[in-house]
Amino acid sequence: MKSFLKYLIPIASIMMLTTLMSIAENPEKKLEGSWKESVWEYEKVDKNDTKNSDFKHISSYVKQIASQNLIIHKAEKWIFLPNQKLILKGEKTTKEISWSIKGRGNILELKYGNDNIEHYNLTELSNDKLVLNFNSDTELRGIARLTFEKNK
Amino acid sequence: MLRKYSNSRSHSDNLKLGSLSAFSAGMINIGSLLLFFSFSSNVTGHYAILASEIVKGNVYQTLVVFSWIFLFFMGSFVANLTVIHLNNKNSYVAHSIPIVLEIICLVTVSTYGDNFYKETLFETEILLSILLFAMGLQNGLTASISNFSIKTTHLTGTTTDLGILFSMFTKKEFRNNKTLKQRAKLLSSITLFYLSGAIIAGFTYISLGFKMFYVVSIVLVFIIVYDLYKIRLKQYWHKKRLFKLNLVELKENIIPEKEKRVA
Repeated sequence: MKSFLKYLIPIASIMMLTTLMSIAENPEKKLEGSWKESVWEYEKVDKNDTKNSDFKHISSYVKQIASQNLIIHKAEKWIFLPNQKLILKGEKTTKEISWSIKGRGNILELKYGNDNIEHYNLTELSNDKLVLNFNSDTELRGIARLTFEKNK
Repeated sequence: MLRKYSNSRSHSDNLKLGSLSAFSAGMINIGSLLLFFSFSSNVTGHYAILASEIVKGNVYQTLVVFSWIFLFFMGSFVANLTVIHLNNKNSYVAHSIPIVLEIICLVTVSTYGDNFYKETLFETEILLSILLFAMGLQNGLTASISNFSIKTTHLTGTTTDLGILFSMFTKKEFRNNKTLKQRAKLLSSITLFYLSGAIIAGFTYISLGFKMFYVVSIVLVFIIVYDLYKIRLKQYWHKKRLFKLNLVELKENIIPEKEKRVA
């Protein structure tokens, strides 16, 4: 019994790791494709700024305030290409920048041509939903949340 | 720093090794945070992240964090394996091998990062894995040869011990205890050097980038060369003393005997 257990544990561990590796999907691959902005909201805001109870839910207002210094400002559609290029499509504008994923797959790095870099927390990434968080330095201090839906 | 083992090490040996290795650990940890957005020596944090990724059901991230923890473990395993198997033959060589391996890891990360890094997630994870292995090597070596009194890659234990020591110093009998004072000096020095390394890495990150790991490698080369130099110096003094003794013997015994024979 003891010798059986001695072999069973390493074999089970290897089998479990192999199964997990086959299930695991690289976040880079998951991210590739076209994503549409669905909602902008503040997760954590200074108490004084939340006097207006509707404030948190006014997506366009939050976007306007939170993203005013960011490259993603006028984008509505984000197209992640496999060659680390990201196309930001707005109503009237189209911009091409670079993207990469850092850390354990939890940080999205966006690079402009002029060495400007922005970092976003990849909070959720599934086949049809993408959630990005970032710290906003604007007068509305807080953590902004940006949710996307995948274009099929 | 590297020649002596366990209880035969002096306070000065531990102080020098602890300070220099803490400095390099501070630089590596902050360097990896700034370059890859993940710590390379904060294993407690990685355990917490592992748990949170398991809870979230993120299989990919769970595997990545698990492999990082495993590589830190392997680094410590390899370091102690070298120490316990080669210590009897040549303690200096046994203690230097993990540092040499760490230098190889750092130079690999630095060279690859500087010349070939395309910022893909796979590359990031591999480079971070190498750094975690290097930190495991360093922590395993310092802990192993110092009888577990030096751990330089994270400061949780060090800060706890410092808190305990400083509370003990509120009593006069402990304030005058030489061993406790030396321990406090060692731990404070490790903390200070770790912080210095981290701050320097933060300031030099923009200008040096991946080259900062070359700077750390130079610090590690100094640790190895310092002892080699000491060994050479000792050998030189030993030879010189032998030569002097021979001269005295020559003057006192051999020359008078010859003179006697001639007479």
